[in-house]
Amino acid sequence: MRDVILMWKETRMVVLTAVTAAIYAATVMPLKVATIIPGFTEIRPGVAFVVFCSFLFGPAAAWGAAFGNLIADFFGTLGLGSIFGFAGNFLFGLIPYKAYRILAGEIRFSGSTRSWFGAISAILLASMTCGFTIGWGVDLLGFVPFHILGSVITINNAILAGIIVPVLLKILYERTRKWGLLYQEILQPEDTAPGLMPMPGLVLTAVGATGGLSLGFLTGFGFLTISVATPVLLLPFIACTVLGTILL
Amino acid sequence: MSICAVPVEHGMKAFIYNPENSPAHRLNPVTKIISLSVVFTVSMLFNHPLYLGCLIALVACLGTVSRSLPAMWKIKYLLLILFLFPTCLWSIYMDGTPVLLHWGPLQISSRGLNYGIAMGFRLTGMLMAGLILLATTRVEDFTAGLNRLGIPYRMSFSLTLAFRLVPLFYDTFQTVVQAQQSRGFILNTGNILQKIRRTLPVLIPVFVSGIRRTDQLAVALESKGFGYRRERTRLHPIRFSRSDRLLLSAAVLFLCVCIILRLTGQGKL
Repeated sequence: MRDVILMWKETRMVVLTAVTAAIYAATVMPLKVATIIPGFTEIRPGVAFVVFCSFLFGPAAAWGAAFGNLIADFFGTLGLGSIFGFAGNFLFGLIPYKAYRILAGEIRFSGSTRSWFGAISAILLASMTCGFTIGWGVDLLGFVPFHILGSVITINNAILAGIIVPVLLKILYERTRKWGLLYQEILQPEDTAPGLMPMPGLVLTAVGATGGLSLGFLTGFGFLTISVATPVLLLPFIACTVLGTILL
Repeated sequence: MSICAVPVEHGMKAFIYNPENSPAHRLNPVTKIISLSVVFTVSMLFNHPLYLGCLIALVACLGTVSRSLPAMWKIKYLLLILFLFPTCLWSIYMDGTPVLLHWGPLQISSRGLNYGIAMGFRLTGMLMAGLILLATTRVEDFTAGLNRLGIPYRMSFSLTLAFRLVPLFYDTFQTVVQAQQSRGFILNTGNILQKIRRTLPVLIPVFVSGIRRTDQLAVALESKGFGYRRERTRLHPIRFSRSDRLLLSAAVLFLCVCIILRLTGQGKL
């Protein structure tokens, strides 16, 4: 997680954070394909930008996604839920490049079969973590039951990013690399070093997100009866996800 | 009376800021952010519709004093949907007695309905309180307030810059869509998958246009001494006035009363 803090000393990373946030906010609002839960979630292809920017700009994309979501909330939906929107989108931008490094075994996207496997797996993990975090937070606040919002965000993000990001990577990755804007070229190598325990971190994140989503869906859709409130029941999984992300 | 926060010369007028001179506009942003946090905390303390209804009434009064009602009116349908959605959802999802309505596998209980209304009030109250902050605080003041509350300068600067860039990229987005429409491109047709695919020719030019500005922006910032000194001076320093101290004292008192009410078992279903 050092890079998430150390990136702020580089002016170009500060600008890339603002640019990612602004593009995200400016495209996510007008490009609405369909409404799923009014006021809470819609099918917006702009969310794919976050994952794509994560592969290019690394930590700047994580902050950019969080800021972009906050800016979108400034159009009238600023509330306590914005904190979980901030956290969920931060993870949605943070996990792809961190998980990709471990799964693909390389820092830069090369276009090989393994790199595609790494990219798609990272997209899935990021979508699940984002859906889990926001769904848990919104249920904790009492707005919408976990299984409804958690499932919608996870599926929405996974499908949109899964369709759009590979195309964007194919068309734009090399061009951006030539412009010298990849995070590996802006930050010092020691600043982009992996976290304390990347592989255990990845396993913890995956276990936290998949386990939490599965248990939340089982209880929410009535397949399992546990007489504990959903946010309390899922708290260990949230802790697991957060710890895993810190170790990545 | 106009409602806009972003410069009018950029076509986007969707931000909520309402340039007035109400007492709320003159308050320190730190006071407003702390007061907003108090409203959020209080709304989380209770889950009884009566108590949360009173909180909404209080927020509406604050909206009148701060002349933010036009901003709330602007998104009235969104507020209505956001009230109805949790109300309906929790009414159906939450079991309890007595059962008020039974229809196939669905049933609505009195407890579920009360909880649903309370959650609808909680969400709407929070959004209304957030709207007052947005309608009375400029983006620069908001980020300066965050900075004063301990958010690092570079982070709050990046947020301000992002706010400034949104109208620019929105204009780029509109230009790209219009240019492509002149070549027969129709954005919103077909099924969902086709619609998603159709966004790609729009997303790519907007992205390229955006990141090409990165180096220019970075050079422009550094040539103006960005990050040169750790200690910073401000063009518009923010100060605490008597009104700020009064409002903060009232907010803390209100929070204490609500906590005592909650500890004595009030405001719970």
